[in-house]
Amino acid sequence: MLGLSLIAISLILVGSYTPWLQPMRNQLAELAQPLYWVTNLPARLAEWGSNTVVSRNELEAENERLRTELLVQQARVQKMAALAAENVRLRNLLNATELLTDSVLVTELIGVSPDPAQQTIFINRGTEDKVYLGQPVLDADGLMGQVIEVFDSHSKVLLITDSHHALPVQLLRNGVRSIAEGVGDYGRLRLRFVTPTTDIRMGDELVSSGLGGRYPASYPVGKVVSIYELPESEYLEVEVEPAARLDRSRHLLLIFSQVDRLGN
Amino acid sequence: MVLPPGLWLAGTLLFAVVLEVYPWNIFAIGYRPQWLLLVVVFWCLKRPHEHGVMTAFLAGLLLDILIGGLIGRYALSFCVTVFLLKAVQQRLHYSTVAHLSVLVFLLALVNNLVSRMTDQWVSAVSLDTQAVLVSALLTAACWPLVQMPMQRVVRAE
Repeated sequence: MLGLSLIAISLILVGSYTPWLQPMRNQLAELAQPLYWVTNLPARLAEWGSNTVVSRNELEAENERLRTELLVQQARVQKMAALAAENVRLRNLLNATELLTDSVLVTELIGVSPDPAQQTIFINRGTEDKVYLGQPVLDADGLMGQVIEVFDSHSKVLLITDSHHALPVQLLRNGVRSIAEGVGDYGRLRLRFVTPTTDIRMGDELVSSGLGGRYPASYPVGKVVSIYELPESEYLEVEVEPAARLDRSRHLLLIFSQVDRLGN
Repeated sequence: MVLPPGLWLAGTLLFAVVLEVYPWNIFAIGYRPQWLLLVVVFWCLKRPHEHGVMTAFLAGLLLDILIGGLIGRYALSFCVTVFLLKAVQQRLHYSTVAHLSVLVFLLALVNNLVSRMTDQWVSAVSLDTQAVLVSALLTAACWPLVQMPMQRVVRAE
């Protein structure tokens, strides 16, 4: 028992303080892929079931709802186009660089890492779809995280709520910049180094600031849900609720940002 | 069903591993029952001369590899847990499902504490004591679900 424990401890030490185990781990992760495929089967069956076994009435109702939604969204897009054009003109006046547009790739969640120490998910796109390390991932409501490991046909995404993750953000209302840090809790983020004089209120929306070059600017990150002062700290303790539905979204988007391509 | 015993062992371990990596709700991750530990404990109690710390070590290592996090974490915690099980096994006079559930609760607690403290030690993740306790309770509650069907299968062999 002692011997085996020592082996385990040395594996832990080697694995966490040196990169020696990394190549082996990558190969083993490929082997684990069928297992994640199996665990994903019930969810896929349920989706297939709900797609095939629906009544005509339900389909018609859904169709109607989607049409209305599409109409509303199209109206918004028209307005957006006008705003974007205006933005480009203003930027030209300021001699600033042009806004870069991002292209996206739809991807599906295939697994959630069962490791409580690390908040990661698996998605069904990999090097075959030109996914790259550090690529931002979002769902319909906001930023989810970034790709940290890429395999042939799947990749691993570190969520923004992981305690190793920090993300440069700014307040939508006034542009105040800050860093949103994960704390290892799926329901919240923390803002770092917010001084008591900062203009920040409950309900303020946060968007990515694009600083740091990893995430593109202006994607929603979350909403301020609590602000309090700690007697022993000279900074405010600000909690943010992530905008992305980290526990529910099955269909995600990978962003191919041109900034990244220029950078790499 | 008559199958070679090795196949039963592999089959049950594989099934437990699938349950371990099954994508439950994200919020429930720390609270899940430890299925693989249950199966390993079952085999160690059932075949004390064949299965022991070595089986536990290998099962833990398998879980580490499949989860893809820190390698050696579950190998260590399974090792320690099953070592404790072996230490008390000789004195185990009662082996009703209820008694074993209590034993499993303690073992699951040890397993959880060792693995979570390893995390804390290596990567500074805070220890969620509530999750540790709830997960151990759930594991104990799931023991009858594992023991009863497996008992029947092994007896029928």
